[in-house]
Amino acid sequence: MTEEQADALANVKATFTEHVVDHEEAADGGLLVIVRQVVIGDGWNPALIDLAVKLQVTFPSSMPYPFYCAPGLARIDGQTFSQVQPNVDIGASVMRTQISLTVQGQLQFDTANETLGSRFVAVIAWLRSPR
Amino acid sequence: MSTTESQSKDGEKKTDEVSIVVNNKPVSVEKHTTGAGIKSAAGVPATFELFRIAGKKEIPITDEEKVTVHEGEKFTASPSLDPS
Amino acid sequence: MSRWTGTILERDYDALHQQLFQPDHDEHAAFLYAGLVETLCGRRLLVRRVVPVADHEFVPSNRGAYRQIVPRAVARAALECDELGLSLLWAHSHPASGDAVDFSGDDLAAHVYAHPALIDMTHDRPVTGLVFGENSVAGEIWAAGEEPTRLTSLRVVGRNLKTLTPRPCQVGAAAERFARQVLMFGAPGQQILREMTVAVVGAGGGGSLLVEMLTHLGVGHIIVIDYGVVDETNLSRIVGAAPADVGRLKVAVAHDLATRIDPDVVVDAVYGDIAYVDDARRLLDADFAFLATDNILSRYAFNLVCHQFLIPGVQVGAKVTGGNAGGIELIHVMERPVTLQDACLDCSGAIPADALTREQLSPEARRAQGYIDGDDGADIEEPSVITLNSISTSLAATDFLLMAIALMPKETSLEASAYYPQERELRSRAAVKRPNCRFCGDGEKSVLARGDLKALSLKPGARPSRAVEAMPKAQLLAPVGAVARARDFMAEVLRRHGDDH
Repeated sequence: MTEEQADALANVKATFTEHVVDHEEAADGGLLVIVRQVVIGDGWNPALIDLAVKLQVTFPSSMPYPFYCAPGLARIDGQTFSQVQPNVDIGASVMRTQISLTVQGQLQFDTANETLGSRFVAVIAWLRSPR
Repeated sequence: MSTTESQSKDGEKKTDEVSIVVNNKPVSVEKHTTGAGIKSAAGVPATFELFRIAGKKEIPITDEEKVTVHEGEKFTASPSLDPS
Repeated sequence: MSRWTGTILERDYDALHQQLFQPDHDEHAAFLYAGLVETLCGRRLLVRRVVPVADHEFVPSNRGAYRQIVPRAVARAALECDELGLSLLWAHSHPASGDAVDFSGDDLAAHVYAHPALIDMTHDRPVTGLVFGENSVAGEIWAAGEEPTRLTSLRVVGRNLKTLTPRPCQVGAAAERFARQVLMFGAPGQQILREMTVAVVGAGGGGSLLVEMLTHLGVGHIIVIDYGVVDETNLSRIVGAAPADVGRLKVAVAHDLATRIDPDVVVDAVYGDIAYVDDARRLLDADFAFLATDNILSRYAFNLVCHQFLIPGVQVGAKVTGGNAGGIELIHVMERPVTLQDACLDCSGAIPADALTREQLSPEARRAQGYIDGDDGADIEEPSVITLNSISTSLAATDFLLMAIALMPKETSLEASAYYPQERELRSRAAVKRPNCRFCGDGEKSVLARGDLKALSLKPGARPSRAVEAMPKAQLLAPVGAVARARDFMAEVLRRHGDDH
């Protein structure tokens, strides 16, 4: 993994000390960072997910975006959100729920003001109160 | 911090020795020694100046200065640079 | 024996020169911290920081020499340099030396006395002693386990590219074909071009024009890299391409174009994509580089390689955007110098994060985000016209020429240039350098001048090859030209400098 990816992974581990944080290195130089067993609230099925993001080899010049979890994530009340698409083929017929969220619409990752850990926190906060 | 009691060849216990780092190389010295003793143990020229590394600072140690060293402590023995 | 060179940014060289050559006409000293890179052509020190030695720490020597950098200053510099993971250099001046300089006996004795310890103090990274004349430099590199080696040259990169050597290089007569150019910049300038290695990333519409111009200018070694194949739609703008070239690799066409113009030019035609580490490393022997591609990922890679390995360059492009009614909304042509000291491509906004992210997503993931795609998920093709390409590449090649032969005035801004053909107007685009930029910033985490001390943040390996092409694979993929040139260069160095090596 790159130095930048390694720093970001360490930051996520330091942010989510009560969770298992795993990673998988991809052949294209990307790094999948997975925070296990995140509570997103009873309004979702499932209410507990493994939340992941793939850091491209160009990170942080490219954004940690989108986020993913297991396919089929849905609201109990049937409400849908355009940011959450439950069955996306992310390549090689691998299906995932894609969570396309940015921070305040910013199409960049500002390392002066953000960390990967804070980005995960922001995504989880949105999932707990989706709008 | 631990110290090591080592055995000499004939089985008698030697004075306490610790392993320190001088110029990024491990060096065994007596726990209670002098600046000159550290330089000698490290095999650096006596004309080099010795410094203890404390954080980002280097603290000078003269040849005559008595020092108590601890396991893993870091030192720099530095030459001058003398151009013409 | 491996050839050693160095590269230093103009702003750092100016600061160093100011420190070493003071109104008192006495000797002065400084430390330099450098990254390292090793290629087929040798090893290069990339100066990242200059640390002046204060006068109270550069005192009369007590070892029989003239002056002494006191041990405390040496220890401090070695510790700081080591913590940064960089290689330590120390420099002093011979104020009476102008265009030629060499070490005194005391200087060399100082290396013997101090360098082995300094190598230990910096975790076995090479240690270098330098002595500067006003317009010259001599250096001796001590690498762990090797005999001391002399520095061949130190390249100063900035507005003007300058090469410092221990003594002036002999200037040969220029070939008759360059006679009209020599009237502008003289035989020495022509020789500078002949001895340069210039990389062109992209062998399409812009890249082919650059290869043609560089060859005509007399650049001696061109590295052209692309993974594309000529198709019929390229024939309107790839210089040197004819209908019979459809199906050939673009780099093969560029190679043939250049060698037809100048049979003596060495062309490395590289099938590759600089988004991959191994392909990007093909640029590392270049003295200057051009980027003429149409994707954001290659801009990122170019910006990264240029800054991490101190290779100045220029990015070119042209864009035609359509209006909602289907008409032309805007035509603009861009040329962005990468000076390594001013705002980089990222600071200039030329590497938008969303576009960079999008390019690397799978087509399915892109579609899921509602991006506008073509029917098969591929990117939409954009208009490309030879006259527009000619404007950007000509601006870029002219900037390169003036920088290479040191004719660019120091007060001239090297901001990006944007030409708007519909208004017939050329404007500069100012950009602000961000202090914490990961490419051009001065922070510890920036890639600037780190060379091989940091792994390249690019895709591992090389772009998968394809089974096409009339050009022999060995000629395409192996740096045949570079190896031969390196051998010839060493032979020339030995001829000029005799017993120094």
